[in-house]
Amino acid sequence: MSRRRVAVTGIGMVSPTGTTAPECWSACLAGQAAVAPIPDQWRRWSGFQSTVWAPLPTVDFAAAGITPLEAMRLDGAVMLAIVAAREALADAKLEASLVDAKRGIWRLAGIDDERAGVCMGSGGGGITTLIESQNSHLLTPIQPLASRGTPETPDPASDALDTLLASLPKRFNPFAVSMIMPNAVSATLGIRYSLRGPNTTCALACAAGTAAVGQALRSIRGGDTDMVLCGGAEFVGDPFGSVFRAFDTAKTLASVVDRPETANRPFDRGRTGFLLAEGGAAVLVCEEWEHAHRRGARIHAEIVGYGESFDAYSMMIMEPTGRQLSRAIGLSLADAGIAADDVDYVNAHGTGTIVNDDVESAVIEGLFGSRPLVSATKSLTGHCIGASGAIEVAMTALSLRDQKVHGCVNLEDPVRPLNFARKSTDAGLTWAVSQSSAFGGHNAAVVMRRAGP
Amino acid sequence: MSDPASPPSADVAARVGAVIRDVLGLESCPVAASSRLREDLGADSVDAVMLVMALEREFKGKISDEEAARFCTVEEVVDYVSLRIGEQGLS
Repeated sequence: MSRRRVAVTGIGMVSPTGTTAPECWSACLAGQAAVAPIPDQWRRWSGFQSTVWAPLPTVDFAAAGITPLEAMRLDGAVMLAIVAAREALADAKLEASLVDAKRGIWRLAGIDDERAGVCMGSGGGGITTLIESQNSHLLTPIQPLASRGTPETPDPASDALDTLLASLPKRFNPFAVSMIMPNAVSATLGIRYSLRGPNTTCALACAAGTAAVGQALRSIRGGDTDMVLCGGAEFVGDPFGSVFRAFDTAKTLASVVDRPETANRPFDRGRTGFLLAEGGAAVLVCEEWEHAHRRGARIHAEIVGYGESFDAYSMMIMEPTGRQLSRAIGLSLADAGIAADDVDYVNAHGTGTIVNDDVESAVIEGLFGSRPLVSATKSLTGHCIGASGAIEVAMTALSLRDQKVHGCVNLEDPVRPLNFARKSTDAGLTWAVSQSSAFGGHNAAVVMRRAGP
Repeated sequence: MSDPASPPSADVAARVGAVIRDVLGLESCPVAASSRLREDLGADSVDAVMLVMALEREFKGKISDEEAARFCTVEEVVDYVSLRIGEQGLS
């Protein structure tokens, strides 16, 4: 019996480069990288080594069907996931009809709900809700300390306290638990679209979205499901820059010397760290091949292989030989049944940190030589943490569909002589790999093929 | 949003009704003053929490959990809000 195949029939995306997949893709092809100074307000709480990040554009959550009441009980990562999921389902021509207005539950036409699953990746779960809840909890007894009127002598401490107290919601959010838990993204999508198959969460930090797509491949291929909504979602834009500070103080972020617009430069010898994104989400409708064909769905690309490994070395630094990253990619190629020489395009993890890019570029050179095109989506979107792998898989699927590769921007002096796409490029692509590595030591790689017979 | 020039209590019943319909997903169903939130309108414990948050949002203020726990009918909610609403919201 031949192996069940997996088609990508729907893509939805929100990132610092756009609020829909076509917007993000067009911006990346046009080389429009997202970068901006961090909010002034954050400097009240700390000096920062890095002073740039990639903020999200304004997202119209109401247009995505999220009511103001729902927004009160949803973390930002979940809201972004809903926007991307809605777009992905519409893109896949899966019609949703409202079956329970109170609970905001929809049902997809033509789908066996018990054979449809959800697998989403997350880095920090509801981390901004956790921060807001903690602020609310700790500051409740301090409310009376809010200053009355403007003091004659400006006082940074009372100014900071007043700002903090003014930001507090009226009550400690009674939905905090269901907003903080890492499985909230997958659970929300499962409830919202009545998907009753396996509902899981991949908590593999920056490789979470990649692993989620890999698990979807295995679930469909193994026969447990016919369709899986998969991807990743992250939101780290807390109002006080707490999450940014955590990465900043660990000295992982891009430091700016002169030109902020070029601070984010994966694989360049002048790189200084990664550009943190405020958040993002990508959702893919992955569907069993015949299931997709029977309903006449358009297929963007085929998911054909997945590999995973773990460094067992350090929580925050990639193992310097890259042996396990190489092994994960090798496993994904073996799973796809292809050789490294077949690969036309590598969508790299490409964070822009010193060690990562050194190790990853050596791994790419060792496995693939200098033949395949290489680019890094993070050079355009910034680093969307748990969403980044899914965003990159989605970008790779669009590359295979449109036969175009976006550039690896700000790359002037490459760390290694790979076939980097410095600008967007037309290319004949059949096979592509998207890989991720993560804090903790996780490595994951997905292999995709251009949609064909 | 109500007209700030009108007496604050004039449209409280209508606004409370709209909030309850919104929270309970009752669309345009009429909500009688005597309707019981739990028994007649089907509110569960999560809806009760959501209702308090939605009322605080609509009327801009804080409702104590102890008092909210005593809400039984739509009328009791309207009476509570009418009694406490002022120019600065609920007090």
